[in-house]
Amino acid sequence: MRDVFLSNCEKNFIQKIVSEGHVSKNENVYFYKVFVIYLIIFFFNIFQRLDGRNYNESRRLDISFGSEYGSCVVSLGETKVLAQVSCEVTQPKQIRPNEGILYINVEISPMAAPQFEANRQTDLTVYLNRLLEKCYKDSKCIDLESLCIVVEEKVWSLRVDIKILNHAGNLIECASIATLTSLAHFKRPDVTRSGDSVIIHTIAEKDPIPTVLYHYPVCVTFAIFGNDILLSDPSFTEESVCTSSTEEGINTAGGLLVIGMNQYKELCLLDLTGAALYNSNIVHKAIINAADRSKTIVDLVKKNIVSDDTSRQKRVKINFSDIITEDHLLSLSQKDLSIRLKTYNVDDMRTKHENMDEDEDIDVKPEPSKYDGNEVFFILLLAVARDFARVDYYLSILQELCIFPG
Amino acid sequence: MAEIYKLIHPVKYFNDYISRDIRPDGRKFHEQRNIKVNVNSLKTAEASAVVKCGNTTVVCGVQLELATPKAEEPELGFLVTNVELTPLCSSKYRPGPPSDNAQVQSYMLSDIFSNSKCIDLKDLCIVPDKLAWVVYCDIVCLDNDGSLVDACIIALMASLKTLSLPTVTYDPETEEIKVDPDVRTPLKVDGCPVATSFAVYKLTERNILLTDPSAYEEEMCGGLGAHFTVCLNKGLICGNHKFGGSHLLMENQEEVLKIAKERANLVVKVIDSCIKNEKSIDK
Amino acid sequence: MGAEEKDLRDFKLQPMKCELNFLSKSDGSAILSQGDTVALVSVNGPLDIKSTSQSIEKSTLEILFCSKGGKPSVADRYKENVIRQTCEKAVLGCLYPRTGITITIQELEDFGGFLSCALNCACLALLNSGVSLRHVFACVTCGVDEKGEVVLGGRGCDTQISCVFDSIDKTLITCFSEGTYSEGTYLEAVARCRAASELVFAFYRDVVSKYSNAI
Repeated sequence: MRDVFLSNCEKNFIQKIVSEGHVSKNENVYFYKVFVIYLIIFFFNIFQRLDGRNYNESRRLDISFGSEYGSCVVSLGETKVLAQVSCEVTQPKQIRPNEGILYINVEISPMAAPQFEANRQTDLTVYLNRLLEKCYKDSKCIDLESLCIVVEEKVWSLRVDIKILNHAGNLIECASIATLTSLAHFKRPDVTRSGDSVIIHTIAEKDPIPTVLYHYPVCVTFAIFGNDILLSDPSFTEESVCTSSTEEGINTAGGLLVIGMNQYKELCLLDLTGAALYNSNIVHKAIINAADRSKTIVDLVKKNIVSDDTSRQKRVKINFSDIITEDHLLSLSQKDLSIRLKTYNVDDMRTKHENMDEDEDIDVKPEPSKYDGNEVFFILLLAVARDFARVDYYLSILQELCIFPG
Repeated sequence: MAEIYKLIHPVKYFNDYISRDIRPDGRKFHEQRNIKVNVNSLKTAEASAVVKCGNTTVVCGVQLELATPKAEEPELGFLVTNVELTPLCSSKYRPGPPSDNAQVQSYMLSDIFSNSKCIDLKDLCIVPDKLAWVVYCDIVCLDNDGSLVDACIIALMASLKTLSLPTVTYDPETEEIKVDPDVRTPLKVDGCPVATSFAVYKLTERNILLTDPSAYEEEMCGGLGAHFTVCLNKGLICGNHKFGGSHLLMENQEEVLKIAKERANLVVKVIDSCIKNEKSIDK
Repeated sequence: MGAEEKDLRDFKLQPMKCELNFLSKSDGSAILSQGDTVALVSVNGPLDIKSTSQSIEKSTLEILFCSKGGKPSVADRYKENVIRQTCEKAVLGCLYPRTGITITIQELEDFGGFLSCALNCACLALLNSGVSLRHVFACVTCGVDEKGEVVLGGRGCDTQISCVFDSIDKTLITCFSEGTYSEGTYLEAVARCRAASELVFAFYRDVVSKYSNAI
């Protein structure tokens, strides 16, 4: 499926919202100390962006871990990314015989959004891959020398697989948090060298070793509107509006600014896409914002890893099934799916092979139908009222479930 | 006339045959095609076999190589099977990297083979953690006319039963390897898995089972992998595969297992007698 | 009944947990956990695809299986094929000619029986997407333990038999297995799975009824 483009009308609308929010923001500074007016403006200001966020507000960040070391799902609002670190023993590169290898691979499948095709590299994939490599490989945050087992012969190679599950804007920030979390969470098996041979211990034999990270860099994204407005954590529409140029737009210059920064407020990556900036103050402003943001992100990542570690030590089972919310309207969990069947043994079976057919008196309790006719009809009526186009869908579901005969 | 009819009404054409209790190629529902096996037909391979089931023709060649075992499994050797479906065997395939179908067939073959446990990979290890045999079994399909897995398994087993490994001496001090190709020990093969395919065709009232379907019949019954394949090794089932296609009823399944058993015995006899003949000619 | 009652034993399917519409950008999506195994499936479609893979009779199913880490393997192609054949039977493709339906499966946790979990999850995602279906399907796995008993779920067993049934006649659509077993075991396992598939269908029904009641 081809990409769906934003119409000029939509673009102008978004830009108008953003720029108008900006006007009241200035007033906000002006009347800052007058409490009552501040309150009024606060209520006016509350919708600075289409989704109701402030300029500086990010979406909710959630990190959950899988059962293995180094696997996590990071969600930033609706954007979801899965990261998995795996390791294997390989030969080192000839120019760096005493260093391990770090390999980052980003994959965007049709799961992320329908416009992506399976097994095909897009510009976005290459761009993301390169940014993450810059941020984690070139900033030398990982102690690659500690990954060496035998110089010139055997080193650990770490492979980070990033899978984009849902693309709802700000992939870069989400993917970089996922990479950082999975690398910091990952533990590789211990090895012992005896003479020439190298023994790799399983996790049960010897405690695995965590990866050494010198610092925790993270990429923070800002959308720039009209050369003077900074939006942190842009959503999908905001991203596409700020990088596209409108002919008769209100303010044309804009772009995406990616800042990679660690918890010590040291810059390790700057990347700008979109139109040129004619005001360097905005970069300065963005860097100050990014410093705060990266500090909070790294703190959250560290806190999550520590709490995960303590629960693992208490032998609590950690599994991705925890990310399924149970009280949601569209979710269901059932613990006791039990059925009564005859006990059966293969050895018994061989002797009485002939009377096999009678053996299968399975006792399934008949499920009382939860709907009577009226109720079904009522649901259908409601469905018609709500969403006319989907009537045949509801009908088909009901028919399939044999609730609604005919 | 019949050809035109087949083109215009493919489903009705097939339906007309089946409703008259006969298949388009003149076979009865449970009649299988003739099996022809020839072993040691390729002189460049360590062991080989050519198998023909009706029109389906496959060639299997076995190559040997020495390698160091994996660090995680130092006591096991390797046996690698691969199925190649070239444009030669059917107009459906294009040249280039292996198609999805070829990968699925390869996986099914190695799955059935490893499940049957007819070869102990420990037998292929010479010195643990140092030296082991790698047995490459390359199967090339020359003509694909249905029931490909059946033919592939026969070809694989026939060639492995004739395979003998040269003696290898390994000096742990100097790490020197000596291979003596004149003194050979035959590879231990425990049992012989045999696969039998059944296509399921849905006729208005009942489901019809067609033993050993041809490519045309497979297509009419749901395509790729929609037929039911049963593999038996020494009376035990070592793989049941059926993906989609028409439904299979319980009573059909018992019938299927009975036929598969008969055919398994027959195929084992065919392979054994073929190998015996080959040996007597050699002498 | 007395003597027979003794022979009956309670079997438990692994606890199931699911959430529909897990992903906002897909037309339909579902995440399902069966025991510790977790799968995530998204369905997009029907949408236009390139003309070479279009079919004038029915919609083309494109299945993509993503393992958790590492490169794609031959085993992934096999799993894709199993899921494609099963879904092709269930989806009423003739309603959407010249279009494509993309089903993407992401492995999240695999503690055995992943393919069976992925199949059930794909069915839930298809229900969620609103694509017309001929029937729903349920996959149940049976294992044979050391004592030779057929157990449902079959976690940790070397021999596993998985069966997929449709919701109308409860007939076998798909079947795949691991390990070796006897003929009797096979027939017993299929019967077991068929009985247990009722529970999965009841689960589907509860999921759908939960939100359709609220609408």
